[in-house]
Amino acid sequence: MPVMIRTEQLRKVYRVGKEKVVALANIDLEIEQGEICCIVGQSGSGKSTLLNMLAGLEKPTRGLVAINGKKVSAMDENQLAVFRQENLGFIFQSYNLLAQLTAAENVALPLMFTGMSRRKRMKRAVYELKQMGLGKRAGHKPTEMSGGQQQRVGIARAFVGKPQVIFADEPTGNLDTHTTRQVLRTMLERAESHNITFVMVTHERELSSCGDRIITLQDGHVISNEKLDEATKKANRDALFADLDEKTLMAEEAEQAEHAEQAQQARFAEKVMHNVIQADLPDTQNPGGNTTGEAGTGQNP
Amino acid sequence: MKISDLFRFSVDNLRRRKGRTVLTVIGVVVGVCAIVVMMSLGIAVNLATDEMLQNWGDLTKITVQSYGAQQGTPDLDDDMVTKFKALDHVVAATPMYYPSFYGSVTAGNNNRYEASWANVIGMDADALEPMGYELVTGNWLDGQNLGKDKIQVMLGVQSIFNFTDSRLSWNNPNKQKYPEYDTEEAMYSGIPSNLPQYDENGTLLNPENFFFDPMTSKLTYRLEVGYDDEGNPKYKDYELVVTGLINSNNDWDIRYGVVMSMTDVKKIEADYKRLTGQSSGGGGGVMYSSSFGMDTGDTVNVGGYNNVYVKVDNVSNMPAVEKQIREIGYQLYSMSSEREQIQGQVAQTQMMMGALGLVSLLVAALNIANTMTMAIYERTKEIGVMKVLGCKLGNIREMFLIESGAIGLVGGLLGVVLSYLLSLLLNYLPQIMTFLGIEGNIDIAGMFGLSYMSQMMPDMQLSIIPIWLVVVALVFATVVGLLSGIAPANRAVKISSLEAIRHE
Repeated sequence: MPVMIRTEQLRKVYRVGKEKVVALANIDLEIEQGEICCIVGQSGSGKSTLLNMLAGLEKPTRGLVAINGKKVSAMDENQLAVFRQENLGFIFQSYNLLAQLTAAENVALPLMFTGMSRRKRMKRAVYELKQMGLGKRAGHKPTEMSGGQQQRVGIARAFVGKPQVIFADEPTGNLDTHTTRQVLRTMLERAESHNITFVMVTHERELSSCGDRIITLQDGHVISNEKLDEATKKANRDALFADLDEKTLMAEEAEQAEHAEQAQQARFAEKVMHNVIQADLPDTQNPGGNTTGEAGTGQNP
Repeated sequence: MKISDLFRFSVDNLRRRKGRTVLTVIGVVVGVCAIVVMMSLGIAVNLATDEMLQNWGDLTKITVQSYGAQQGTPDLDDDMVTKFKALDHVVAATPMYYPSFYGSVTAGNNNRYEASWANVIGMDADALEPMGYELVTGNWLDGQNLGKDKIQVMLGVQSIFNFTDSRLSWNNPNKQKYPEYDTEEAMYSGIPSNLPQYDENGTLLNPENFFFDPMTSKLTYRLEVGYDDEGNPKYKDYELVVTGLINSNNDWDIRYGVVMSMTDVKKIEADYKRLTGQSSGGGGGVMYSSSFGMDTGDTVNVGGYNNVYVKVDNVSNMPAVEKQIREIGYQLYSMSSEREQIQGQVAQTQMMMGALGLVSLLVAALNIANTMTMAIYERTKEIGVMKVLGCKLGNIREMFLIESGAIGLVGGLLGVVLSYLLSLLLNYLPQIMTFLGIEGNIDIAGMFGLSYMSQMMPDMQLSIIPIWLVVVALVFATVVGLLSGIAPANRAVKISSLEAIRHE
């Protein structure tokens, strides 16, 4: 497999007051195309810094980052913007959805920046949401959704532009265990089926075991960089996703919708029954009363 | 990013923070309204000034005067009139000569009707038409010499009311026919409503108002040439050939005058000198006013005509021509310099009031900048996310500029609407005050130092908002909005995307 992401002597030094803190010390990495790469480490190990520099969000103190042969570390802000539009997707720990936009509009946002027409990008956004099992939620605002749903919107947004590489910074950090596994499995499936290079930062060693490559950082140094073989990877994933059934999110949604419909019918039946009972009662508050009306209209004035 | 998307995004953001947007817009509304209303008052006063001055006199006429000239200025004589005619943009120049001889005009059988006070004016025959006078009927003077005692004249249209019936006593109410001022227009303009009117064929349409038709009657000019031994006045008669009736809305002298060509005036003057025995060397010459007395300080009264009229082709060329004549050394008078002075005064007041409006718009601009800065602080995270997702810096800047520009434009639109309402209110103020039973008046012209105006023009509009003012106000408000958005927009562009997405 060709190399997708490459770093050479990547170094980052922060100044804290008069002291210099070395966040990353001379990192040399190669991540292949289509790889699921997990960067794991304790907080302060430099894993987020590494991700930010790989994605061009932060400039290295020294060294080089290249994605698909392009020197990201040498681009200016506008070149980076165009590069991100065309090649990169992002998933954040805190979802970072725009509160004023609906789920579909949030997903379509990266396409809007490329100048795609609204009709076309909304169509693609709704398709992505369906893949994430959120077809019925396209018109909802983020505040009307659960954390897991919001992160699925975030994932749809990362995939909508058909990027080469997706960067995910603790994508499941704010989710419960079950949702974490569900979301993780979805991301992996989508990335692998589209041959997208997926770089995920996590502090949970257990989650990192699902990747093709696991890079462990400590105090700004790479202490291990292991490429797993298919068998190990499969075993790891079986263990990780043991609790989940085989259903895809799309199937799940269809099922939920059926449940919801049944529930609604049940509520409606109940309401009708209630009104019928009400109408049967003698109307004491309205002596002149129109008690002859159908159920549901004989309300108090 | 598409422009439609940029606009949608910005407008959505404004709508999201309705309260604050509304308050900011109100600031702009007040500023725009202040400026537009202040300007509209000045515009109304200027328009009224123009209208008033047009009633008073011709805006393209210069009166050059013989008094008050600079030391060493040449006489205001025929040579000088020729010089004036040669100036650029000058259509005509003529002396306005009031001769010193005295005479009356008589008409009818046995000279029954007499205008004992005939105001003879000598002018260049070919200058009358270009001077802009009105030909009521007949023709202009053609300057022809009709022979010894025959003179071509044009009668001022109102001079017909000077005639009295010599057969009736002074107590008789029919002794004289009087001008009537029974219409509102006649009252304001001072021009009678019953002046002679003619149809195209030269037929008098309202003969009942006059003793005779001056166009068809035989008229005689009786020049008084001293007294005989018994003390009775001696006369010399001239037959008058009336070529036409002349009128001018703003020249009282013409309206009452008996206008002759300079050649004829000089001829009568020569006769007068000869018959009264005053004959001095310059026979046939005009008796110019002498340059004595009245000299004060640096100025002198030069010889020649008292007044020379110069007609200019266009108001806009007035300053140039006036300058050239002033440079020769003469003092002059024109409605247009009067107008400039008044307009200068109005402009000054308008500037002052406009400056007040500008201050409130400045405050509004600061307000917009503040609102935009607040919005950017609130949206730091959002901006960061957009940058990470591939939004170009230019697009972010445009988003915020559109927002601040929209605040300006909407404020401008509402400000213009409010200004129109205020303008309407001002224009109907007298009626409203009467309706509410409040005594008194608001003297807007007085605010501009022209307190006489509201008396002169009781119907004048207090506030006029022309379309150009609306356009200027809208453009100005939008530009103010955009300018106040520049600094905040640049701040938004500089936000580090990394810090922004960490920002909670």
